[in-house]
Amino acid sequence: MSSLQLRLLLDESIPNPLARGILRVSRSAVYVRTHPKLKGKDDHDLAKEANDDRRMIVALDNDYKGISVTAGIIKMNADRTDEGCLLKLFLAFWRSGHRGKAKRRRTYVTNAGFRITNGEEFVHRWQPHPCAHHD
Amino acid sequence: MFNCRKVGRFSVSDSDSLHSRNLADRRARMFIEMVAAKQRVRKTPGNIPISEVYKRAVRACPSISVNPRRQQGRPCISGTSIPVHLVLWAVEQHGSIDGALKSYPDLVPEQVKDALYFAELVMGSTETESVSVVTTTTLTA
Repeated sequence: MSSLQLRLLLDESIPNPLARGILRVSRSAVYVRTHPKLKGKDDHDLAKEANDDRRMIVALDNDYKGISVTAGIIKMNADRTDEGCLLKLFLAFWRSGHRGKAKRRRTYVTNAGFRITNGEEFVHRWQPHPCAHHD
Repeated sequence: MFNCRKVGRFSVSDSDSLHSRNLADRRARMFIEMVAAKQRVRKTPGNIPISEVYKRAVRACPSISVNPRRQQGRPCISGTSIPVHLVLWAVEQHGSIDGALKSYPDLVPEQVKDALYFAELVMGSTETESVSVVTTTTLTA
């Protein structure tokens, strides 16, 4: 059984309201924008910091392709959504009971559901959609 | 009386067998699909690659930079890992530059304006190559 303790590193591309929402549910998370040591670092340096600190990177529209991130990556997709909806999608993933599976893997949280890859693939579709105003 | 159907660059006369007509039709369909695929390819005037378009736009926008080590080489606000497309997304969501600053409070209005201008320059210098094809022509002699 995987532990639910995921230490997160929120990429600089994550907008402030979304980051605040994530920080409310994950107290151990670190937001690059407000961290003086991490602010302004590029993808490679950030991945190195995440590996050293065993943190999963949470990014928007960037999956750090070609860069080794040992603790894993959660990629959110901004396509046709707003910040409020993105936060609801993240919270739905977080409370789905499957987040432990995301450790050391790549997770794609989208409007359709979430998909955990890089090993045995796990797909979860939103039923119902977490965002009330979604079509 | 001679009846000839022209499909793209392939023509079939009535005297041809059914097999060769089907073959010509298939080839014509392939040709049309090939042209359609070509139409979908984004081109710039004089076949300038998109990276060159970015370079030119970056020169006009001092707040924007392209670094392969940041955001997989996408144009970003200089000194940050905030890509231009997410700044546009923030403007779209909030409907104003001030609104976008709520999403990214470290940015200043000039940087948001530069992101908008950058997008304007890139979009203004790309076009879709148009190719016209005659699909069916009937000739009667």
